[in-house]
Amino acid sequence: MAIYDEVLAFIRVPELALFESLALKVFRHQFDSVAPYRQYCLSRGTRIGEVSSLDQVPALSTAAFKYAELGDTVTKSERAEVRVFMTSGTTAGRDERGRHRVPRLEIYRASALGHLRKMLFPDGARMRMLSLHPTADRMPESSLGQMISWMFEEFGAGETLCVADRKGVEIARALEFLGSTERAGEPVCVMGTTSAFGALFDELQTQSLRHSLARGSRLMDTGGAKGQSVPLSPSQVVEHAQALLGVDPASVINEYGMTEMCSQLYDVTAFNSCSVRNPGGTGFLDKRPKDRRKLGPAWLGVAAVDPSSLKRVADGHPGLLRFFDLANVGSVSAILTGDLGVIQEGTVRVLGRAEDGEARGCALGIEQFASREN
Amino acid sequence: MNPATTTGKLEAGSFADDRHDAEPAAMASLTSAIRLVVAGVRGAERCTSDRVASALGYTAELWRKREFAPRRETVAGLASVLGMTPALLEESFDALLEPVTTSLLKARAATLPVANRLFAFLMPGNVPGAGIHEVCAALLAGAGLIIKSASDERLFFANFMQTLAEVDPAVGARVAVVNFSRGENVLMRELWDCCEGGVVAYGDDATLAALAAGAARGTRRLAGFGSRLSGALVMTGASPSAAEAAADGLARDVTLFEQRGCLSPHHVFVAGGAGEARGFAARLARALGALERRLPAPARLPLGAAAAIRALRERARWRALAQRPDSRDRGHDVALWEGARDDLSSVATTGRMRDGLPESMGWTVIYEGAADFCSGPGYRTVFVSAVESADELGERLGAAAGRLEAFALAAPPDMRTRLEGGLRMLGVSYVCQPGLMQTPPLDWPHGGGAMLELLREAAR
Repeated sequence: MAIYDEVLAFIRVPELALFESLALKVFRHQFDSVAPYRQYCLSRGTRIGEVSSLDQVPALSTAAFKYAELGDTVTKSERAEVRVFMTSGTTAGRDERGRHRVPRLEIYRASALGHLRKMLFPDGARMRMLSLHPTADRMPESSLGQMISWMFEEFGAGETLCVADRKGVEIARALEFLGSTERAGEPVCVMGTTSAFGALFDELQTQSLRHSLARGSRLMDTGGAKGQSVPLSPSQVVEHAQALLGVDPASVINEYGMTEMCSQLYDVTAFNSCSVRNPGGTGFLDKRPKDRRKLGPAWLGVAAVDPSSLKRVADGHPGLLRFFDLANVGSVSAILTGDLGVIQEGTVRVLGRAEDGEARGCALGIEQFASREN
Repeated sequence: MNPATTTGKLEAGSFADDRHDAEPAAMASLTSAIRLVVAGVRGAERCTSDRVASALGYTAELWRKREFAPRRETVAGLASVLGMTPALLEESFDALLEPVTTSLLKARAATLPVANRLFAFLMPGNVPGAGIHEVCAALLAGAGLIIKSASDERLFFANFMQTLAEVDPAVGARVAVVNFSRGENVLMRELWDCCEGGVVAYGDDATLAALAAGAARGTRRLAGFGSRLSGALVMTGASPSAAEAAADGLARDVTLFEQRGCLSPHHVFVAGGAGEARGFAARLARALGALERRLPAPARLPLGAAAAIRALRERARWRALAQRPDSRDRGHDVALWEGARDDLSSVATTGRMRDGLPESMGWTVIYEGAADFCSGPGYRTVFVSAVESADELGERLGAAAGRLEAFALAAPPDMRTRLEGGLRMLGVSYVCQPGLMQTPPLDWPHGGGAMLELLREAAR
């Protein structure tokens, strides 16, 4: 378990200078202990003894989590500590859900809460909590649900409420809770998927309701367009949160995360900018919501890579997002996503998902009429 | 009726968002072009359809010669702008221009109404030269044309029509090629106001739907050519030579124009069982690899396409690796062939990890035995699946049914008629042998024959 303990220690007290050496150690451990990953590395011509930098570590597509068992089969785990999280299957169908086996849950907990503390609770506040996504007791296979349950424990004070289960979100109960919170004049943290917020905002608009939540209230949405028939853009989330709930735009924080990773990234805004590691400046904080940048924790390496060569592209240039997540020590840490993004000063601007394919018109370039998001 | 083809009436008021005032010089240039074309159509010098056919035919004859200077310039310019290699553009233009001959143009003219009015053409940017069938039909019908080229592809029609004007100035005077940037709504309004014959637009479905919505309120006729897909059915029986020929032909169909147009096949269904289909996928991979040596892929793919190909490959790779031993027996197996950078040969992932050659993005073949019709991101990405018999094809087209433009058919002669009939019932406008998909005849009823319909309306 030594490598697990080393990672946990790093997450608790990160020493940036040691990140790469620990990451390489984790890679070697995973090469030895996760058979499909080892096969993949060998198929790409990787020789373990020759890997001396993170850029040489083959990144595994998130697709692999759907089809291969990517758990550490060497290190013994306490049964109570092991959890398997599953993707929602919204894009590939329910029969092709990704599975992420996490052999030591406390590492995921330390990772998730450690970064949340900086990005969503930088003021050290504890407050009322409202979840529009099922918590772990209601949906144990949801990594987001697990994270929200931990948030309740760690940052909750006073009333906490989850209004979602497998069947859906009880918007009426959410509105009731928000009303009582407003009347009490207490701040609240509301969290859920972007699509759940879409439903909440729709209902508020339908009922012509406006809340003015107490100062210090905050909102975390995640998932973006996934599951939405009419996707709510990042700008719309911020605008609606301000107009309908009275939440300061800087306190509306979008999370970028996935079941396949135990670490997450969050919008950097004036609310949490004190947490920005990079001293290169915070001039980007006034960006419109769709141009916001996201920051991962110190134990998450980020890069944008050329989809063809899989080599890192220069900062400021778009590429597929690749991560090395130390918190994934029990599965595979080097992850290649299907998302395009740009790395700038250690932060990530997520551009969106690369589409698999689409019908070809004779004129994809009839740009004269093409509408673009503002 | 072809659902992706829109006909309706369009009012100039569709351009509601006048964000930019037109530059006076740009407006003057457009109005001058329109005036000249109107004068060309009304001119004292009579242009019979025979004369138009001869002029167009001779122009195309010149353009079929690779050493013809305007073609050379066009190929060089487009290679730089579109990222397609010159060799690929040359072969693609050869295919496109093959049917544009004087005799075939004359035969085509005999089937068209007289419509000596002014038409606007809003051209595509993804496939250079696309739209030439409709342009020829309109000219043969006696129309005047204002062709608005796309910002990505300004060269083909500008240069081709320049040659036409040199071949026969009177015919050339009936066409003007203009280019202005998007958002120039004042210019667009002017264009639409003046083209009383109608508007021919190429675009994605959302764009055309917006145009059609505007058309429903107005007085302009619109023929829209929207997002469409193509595929292939292979029934070669036990003949290896027929399978080889079909694979070679389909490799060409996939490769030309980098699979960016509506005539490019995305999914090949092979009748006769999983073993045969899988074998055909391997043949197709070899054929694509061989063709890539002669017609190199772009040195660098657009980011979105490369990312999409990467996503498809990784999914196929891991599905292939994870499949159960009996997958193949059940026809549910998956295999991936991808170009390899070192020697451009095929590298297959077929249930075990492949051995270390660095891959290239030049081409991709994904075999999924039981998949319904899939569309890829282009750039030589093709799916192969099995069907027990041709009768199963209809249900396997899935969401693509009704959005199909062309289908290549490799089948015994005695089955072709029935199969062609079935495909046409599904809205397929062009059925051909493998290898001919990018060479539709001049009377190809693109998008269900919307152009002919527009000309007939204008002729009334």
